[in-house]
Amino acid sequence: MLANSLISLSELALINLIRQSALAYPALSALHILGIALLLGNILLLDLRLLGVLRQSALSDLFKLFSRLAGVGLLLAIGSGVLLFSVQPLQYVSNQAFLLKMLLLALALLNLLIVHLSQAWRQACSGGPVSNSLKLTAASSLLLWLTILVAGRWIAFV
Amino acid sequence: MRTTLTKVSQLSLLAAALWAASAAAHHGWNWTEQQQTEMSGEITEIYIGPPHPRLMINTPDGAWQVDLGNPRQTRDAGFVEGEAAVGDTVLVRGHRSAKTDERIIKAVRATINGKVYTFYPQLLRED
Repeated sequence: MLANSLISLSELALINLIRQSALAYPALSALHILGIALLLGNILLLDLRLLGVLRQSALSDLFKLFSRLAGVGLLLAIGSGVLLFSVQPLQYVSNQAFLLKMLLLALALLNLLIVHLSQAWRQACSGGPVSNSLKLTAASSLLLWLTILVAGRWIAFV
Repeated sequence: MRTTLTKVSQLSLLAAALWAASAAAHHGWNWTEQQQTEMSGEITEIYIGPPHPRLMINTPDGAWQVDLGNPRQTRDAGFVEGEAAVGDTVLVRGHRSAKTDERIIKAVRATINGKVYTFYPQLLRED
């Protein structure tokens, strides 16, 4: 059932085009990396400032900007990632590094949801103090996104 | 603050070390045996496309995965869609994974229906 829908996914005209083109796959990989760069670059600054590792107060005015740019990066990474996945979905669903990455990604998205629904985040964005709970979610965000990066790179090596 | 920063850099180092340690399969040749081996089998699956073209084959020794060249090397070797079909017999010359429980061979050359596809001409060694 799942296998069948994955096979149909890989047989879509668009996906066949990506598979046959010499340029599409490397270009999608580059977009995926651009998304990751935007996501992690902004997340690192945001989380390290929330944790107090970075102390420049000017960074506190940029929380919303970091968050939005990270969001753009996330969407770019997910969009390109879905297409890269579709080129050979059956291979990926049996790749343990990929499965680990998806599990960690689900946790990171849950963490993101918790942050954005919290009072503590709104408070920090409007110049208020950073609560301990927000520091905790910043630490898990940092840890999750970095391990997702490693798990993602690992896919090609298992 | 200092200690947090130190912890973060230690974590990144650990991650980098894990990554380097794992970078032992599929890319390059450092995960394979030094010597070249030949094996023959019946093709059960053909995949031509990114990130890596491959065959699955059935040999007297069981199922093996045959990694071909990268998409461009595979095309340049003349191995494109329609060149082979499931059920064809293939003679593979290449390097097996150095791990004996990992049944993957990275092909230098494949011979199918009398036609020879050389993915890595410069690496081919004749006995």
